[in-house]
Parts: sequence; C-alpha cells; structure tokens
Amino acid sequence: MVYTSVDQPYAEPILAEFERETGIRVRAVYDVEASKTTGLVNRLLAETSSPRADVFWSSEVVQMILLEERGVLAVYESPQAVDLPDQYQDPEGYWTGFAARARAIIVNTDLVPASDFPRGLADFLDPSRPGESIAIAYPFFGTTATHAAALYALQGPEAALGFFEELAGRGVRVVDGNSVVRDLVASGELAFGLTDTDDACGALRRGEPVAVILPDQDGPGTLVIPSTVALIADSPNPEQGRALIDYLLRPETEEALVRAGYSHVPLHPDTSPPETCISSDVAAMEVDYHDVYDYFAVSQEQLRAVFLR
Amino acid sequence: MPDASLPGGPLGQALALGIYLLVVMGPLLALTGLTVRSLLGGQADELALVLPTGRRLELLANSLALSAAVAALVTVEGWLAATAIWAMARSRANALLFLVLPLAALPPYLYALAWFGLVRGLEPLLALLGLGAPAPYGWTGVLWVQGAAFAPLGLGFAWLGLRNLDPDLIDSGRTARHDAAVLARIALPMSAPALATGAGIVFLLSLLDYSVPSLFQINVYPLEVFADYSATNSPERALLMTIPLLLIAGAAAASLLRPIRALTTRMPSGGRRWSSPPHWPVGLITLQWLALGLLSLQALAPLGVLLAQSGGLGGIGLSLASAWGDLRSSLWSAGLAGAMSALVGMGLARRLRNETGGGVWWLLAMAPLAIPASLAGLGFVVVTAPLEGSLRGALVLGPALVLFGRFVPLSALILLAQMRRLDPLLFESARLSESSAWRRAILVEIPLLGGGLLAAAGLVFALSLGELGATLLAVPPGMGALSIRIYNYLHYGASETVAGLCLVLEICVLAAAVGTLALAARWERRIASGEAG
Repeated sequence: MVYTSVDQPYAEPILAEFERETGIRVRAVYDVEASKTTGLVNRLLAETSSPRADVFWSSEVVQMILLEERGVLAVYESPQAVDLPDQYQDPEGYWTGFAARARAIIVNTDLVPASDFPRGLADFLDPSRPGESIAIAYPFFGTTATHAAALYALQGPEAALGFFEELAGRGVRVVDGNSVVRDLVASGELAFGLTDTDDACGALRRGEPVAVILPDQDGPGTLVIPSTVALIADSPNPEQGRALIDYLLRPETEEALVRAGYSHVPLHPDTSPPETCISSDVAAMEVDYHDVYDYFAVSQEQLRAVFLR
Repeated sequence: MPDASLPGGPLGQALALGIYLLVVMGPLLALTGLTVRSLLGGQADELALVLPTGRRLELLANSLALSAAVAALVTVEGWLAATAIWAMARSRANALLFLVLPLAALPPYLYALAWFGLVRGLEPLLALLGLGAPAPYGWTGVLWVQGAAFAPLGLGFAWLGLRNLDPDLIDSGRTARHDAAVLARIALPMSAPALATGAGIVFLLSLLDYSVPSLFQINVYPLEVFADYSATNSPERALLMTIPLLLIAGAAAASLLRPIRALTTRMPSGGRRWSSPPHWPVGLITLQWLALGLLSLQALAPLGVLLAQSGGLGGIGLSLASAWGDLRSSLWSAGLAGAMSALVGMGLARRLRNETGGGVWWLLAMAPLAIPASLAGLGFVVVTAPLEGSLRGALVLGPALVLFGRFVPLSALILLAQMRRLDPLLFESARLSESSAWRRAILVEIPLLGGGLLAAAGLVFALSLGELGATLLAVPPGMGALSIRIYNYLHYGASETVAGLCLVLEICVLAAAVGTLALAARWERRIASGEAG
C-alpha cells in the first residue's frame, strides 16, 4: 500500500508497471494539490499507532522530514540508492530523494521579450516590472513553502522576510497554487511567475507561449526539490514496501519520470534522460534540507502575517 | 400522535441514534478528545487560538462579510427568479426547475474554473468591443462565482417558499389588493421561512469555503486555519481555530430553527398556483426576468464552457475510460451514503418533528453542516485508526460513511418536510390497524414517505459525488474517487480531461437528480390519488 503526493497522471503508470513486472499488487492513495499538503501527511500522522501504508512517495522533501521527526518512518537504505548524491538522502536512512524537480520562473513570451527575461528572484523586486504582472503561489503551502523556508535557511530570516515583505508591498499577485501561476502566465494574464518545472514545462509542452527559466543560475543557484520515498514504520507489508522502494529508485524509473514530464533534474549520475525543457546542467542551491525543515515553522508563521490579511 | 418511526419503533430509533452519534458526531468528538488531552498535557496556551484577534479577526470579518453578501445576493436573486417561474405555465416552470436545481450539487470550484475559461474565451470579443476582460480576482469575482454556485439553492428554497403558499389566501388577497401588493404583503412574508432557511444554508456553505475565495485572492478565515494546519500538522490547533466558525455556524443554525420549523409545518400537498395570470408592474417584471436571466446564465454557462473544452463526445468518452474505476467507486460510495442518509434521516426527522424543547436536537442534527470537510475526514481517520485485521476491510465503506456524516442533516430536513405534508391520520390508522412495526413500516410508512426518501437519497448522492475534502482522507488504499482524479488532472494541466470528467460528474448528478425527482413526484401523485380515493 502506497500513499503518494506525486500527481496521479505521473505516478499511476509507474505503479502499474511495477505491478506488471513484479506481480505485487499495489493499492495507492493519491493526494491533490488542493489539499495543501494537509491530506496524506496528516493521514499518516493520524495512523501512526496503526499504520496502513507501507510506503510514502512524496513529491517533495520537507513533509518527509516532518514524518521522520514524528517517528512515522522506518530506516531503509535501498541498494538502488548507493549512487545517489548524499545531499538528497537522509543521513540516517529514513528517506531517499530521486527524480527531482526544480523551482522555475515561467515567462509569457508574448508579453516579455527574450532580452528582458527575468533571471532570478531579484527580478521579482525590479521596479521596472509592475508587481501586478507577477505571481507567486501562497508561500505557506507545497513547494512554494519549501522554497520560502529554503530562502530563510540560505539568506537568514531577516533577509528572507524582507524579500517577501517587499513582494507584498509591490502588489505581486499571490495565488492559489503553482498550477494557477502557470495558467495565469500561459494565458497572458501575467508576465511571469514562480512555479515548479513540471508545471512550467507542461505548459511549454502543450504549446503555450511560455519560456522556462531556472532562477539564479549565476548566483546562489536554483532550489532543487527531490521526490522522496520512505518505508513506513511497522507497516503491514514491509517486504513488498521495500520492493516498491527499490523499483522507484532504479535509474529506469527516474528516466520514465523524466520522459513523462514530471522530473527535470534526474539524480542518478548514470541516468541518460531524454532532452528536457531545461538545461541538464543545473546549478543547484546549496541547502541542507534539514535546515530548511528547521526554518519551516517560523517562515510559515511570519509569511502568514505578511500575506494573509 | 402520528407514528413514522423506523421499523422496530424504539429499537429502530435507538439504532439510528447510535449510528448517528458514532458516524456523524464521532469524528468531531474524537478530535475534541485529542484537543482536550493536548490542552491538559501542557498546551493550555493554545486556548488563545479560540479567540481571534488582530489579523485573524480581520480575516474572520472578511469571511462574515463575504458569506453574508453571497447569501443576500443569492436569496434576492432566487426569490425574484422564483416569482417569475411562479407565474409560468406548470410545464415550463417544471422544465426550468429540473434543469437548474440539480446544478446545486456541483462543487463551487468547478464553477470558478468554468467562469475563468469563459472569461478567457470572451476576451477577443470584448477586445473587439473595446472592453477589457473582467479582472479574475477580487470581491466582484468571488461574489459572482459563489453566487453562481449557490444560485440553484437560492432558487430552490425560494420556490419551496412560494409553492408552500395557500392558493386560497392568495386569491382572497387579490380580491382586495393589486397583485404586486399581494406579492409584497402576503407571498413575501409567508415565504420568508423558506428564504431564511436557504440564506442560512448558503451562508454556512460560503463561510466554510476557502478554495474559491483564495482563487480570487480574497483571504478568509478558513484559509488561515488551513495554513496553520499545513504548517503545524496539528489537528488540535485546527479544531481550536475552527471554534469561532463553529460558533458562528451554530448561531446561524440556531437562528434558522424557527424558519425551518415554520417551513416544515406549512407544507401543503402541492396543488394549484394562480387562479388567473398575475398582473405585475413593468418594473417588477423587468427585475424578475433580469434575475431569472442572470441566474440561468450563472448556472448554465459553465455547462457550455465544459462542453466546449471537453473535445466533444469522443473527448468525454476518453475521459470516462480513463476514470472508469474511480467513477464506479464514487457511484458506490455516493449511492451508499444516499441510502444511509435516507434511512437514518428518517429516524432523525421523526425525532425533530417531536422536538418541543430548547432545540438541542436541532442543533445536534444541524452541527455536521458546520464542520469543515477536512476536519470531518481527519476525525474519521482518528476514529478508525485503531481498527485491526479483518475489520480494516470495512474501510472500503469509509468514503460512504464520511459522506453520510456530512450530508445527513439535509436528508433529515427533506424527510421532515415530507412527513409534515402527509395527513397524520394515515399514520394513525396504520398504527391502529397494524400491530407489527415492521409490517407497518414496509406496507404503509415507507410507501407513504417514499417520495421524500428518494429525494433525500438523491440529494445526498448528488452532493457526495463531487465531494473532495473529506473523501480524500477517508478513501482506503486502492480505491479512487472521481473528485480526486479531477483535482489531480487539474494540477496536471489536462484541461480537456478535466472538462470531460466534470461533464461526466454533471451528467451523473443530473441523471440522479432528474430520476429521483421524477420518481418522487410519481410516488407523490400515487399517494395523493390514494388519499383522494
């Protein structure tokens, strides 16, 4: 039994292929963006005393660390993970990152000439770019919340809070999720916005007039957000759970997720993915995800006061 | 005393009450238990969350203003439109009502998406006319979309109020005053209980919704609760922060008790409307038709948008094929929730009918309407977490149970209204002539209440089919739901598939609604002819 916050259209074919190859039947529960991460993570927390899931396959990392801290996860170091970079693995072996996405700026090419494309987060504060033509998602949900906490960890709370206060002061549109940012930019309602690579590249693939920029490649780098997978402590079917984790962590599965348009930053060194909509050479932001987790609560508290009024 | 109890009399009622407390109130009680434990365990300072101050108070004020405005808008528009329908020939009126009323079951989020699509589609036309497209954010947008989503409810309750009027009273009034005065002095005050009930229910639904306001960048209190919950993963904090909403919702429900009672004690058994066509001033007729046109546009335009985006029949077929398993699961859960709501709602309705005290039963019965969906779902997880072994197999019933818990109050209201409409002597003679409660129930009571049972089951089925918040937490591994798949594809950006699946959902809702309404009407006619005979 697997709980997953990876979008159903991406996760379902992978799980079906696992069933076909191994003969192990998979029963999945999917999360949705609209549940704002309160869906499956809270369900796993509520089920801690009597777990029903064997595996949690998350679309990001901070909620996985939360589950680790709350004792929901079991240690499992998959043999398929030996080649994966240490930065994307839990040092104690509770979870493993793979098939990453990255934060991205999506730009409407009808509205912004290539010579004027934003290059980084500083452009969100550029006075020559009207604040009301720019969007971010609420920074207290999903990967935008993770990004906010990462900025807290990287720049320090004061500087990061100042950045968001300035965004709010400029009248930047704060909308209900990364997919809404994508849709508003793709439709020409807005000039550019901050979202994830899967959203931005999806719009590009559908022929929308957009460009995808990885922010701050010449500076502190782009925040890379790995998918993470973990075994649930005291799960009902641990053996099958480990088999699924091994399967998900294979380079072939990562390639399939890249081909499907979910991941754009494969983490296996020997993965030879098909061409994606972004450069294969991503300068990643140097952050420790446990530090990001440590700043999560305080960033949420402060940013709610900035944006929810 | 007329007797419309469940089979088994007191035993049946006790069973219904037990199920009600366990399934409907259980999740809330479980969360309350967790919260009390947390407060006693050293988190007493979190009690401060109950009292919103500063920014949270402003958000609560936003919520109240929005909900009140939406309720007022929907009620006025619904009443004006209903008065226009009231003057129509019966066949035209019925056709219009059958088309619009079932749309009450579609989630507001779908209305928002459809209207976003419509505005974008109209942009070139508006540009040709030298007009800009309306900004897709702000109070106007959220009022329009929530108004559209709840417009069928407003119309439904206003129609109920007008249908409730005694035609002889209207005719007597017309002999002394002109028709506009009759409408203002007789029809409006007498349909006020129905209007107040509808306004109250719309207020509650709007008060708990954060998804549509957040799409339009209107920050409301439920979003603050959700953001805190997302950051802390603490259901105890979420429950404490929800208490102001529960209190407001409770006060709203309490203020509805009198109109609901009045509504359900005045129901005549259908019958004629105007003895001759009414003559209203041109100004009033204009307002009525404006309201009817606006309501039809609000409610029906999303259908057109979804049809245009879905890629035609082929596209709908592909969407259906991709979600066939989820649709089956949703139909099963919604059907079961509908059936359970009808049966337990019957016991609850009987209890409410006999309620003469301080309204505690009314508050208890209406409380589920004030519980946010995600908390209801989480409470269900807490209640069922200890289940072990083969008992876990029963969790396949999870979505049905949690949906039943959310919507059974509406079912009880419908059945209460149905009971009020029937001649008490029918029940009394059945009680005297048939000693077996089971035989009495099967041979007399269920047939007599059949129309109401079908309508109650149909309404809960329709509402359940599109529900997301609680379903997401209650669905067991391996079991999908149509609403979950729709929201997943929404994020994925597959607008064609989303539109196709929304249409599938809408077709199911319409089919269920039309089917149950038609069956209920037929049943009612049979009962009426039996009465006449």
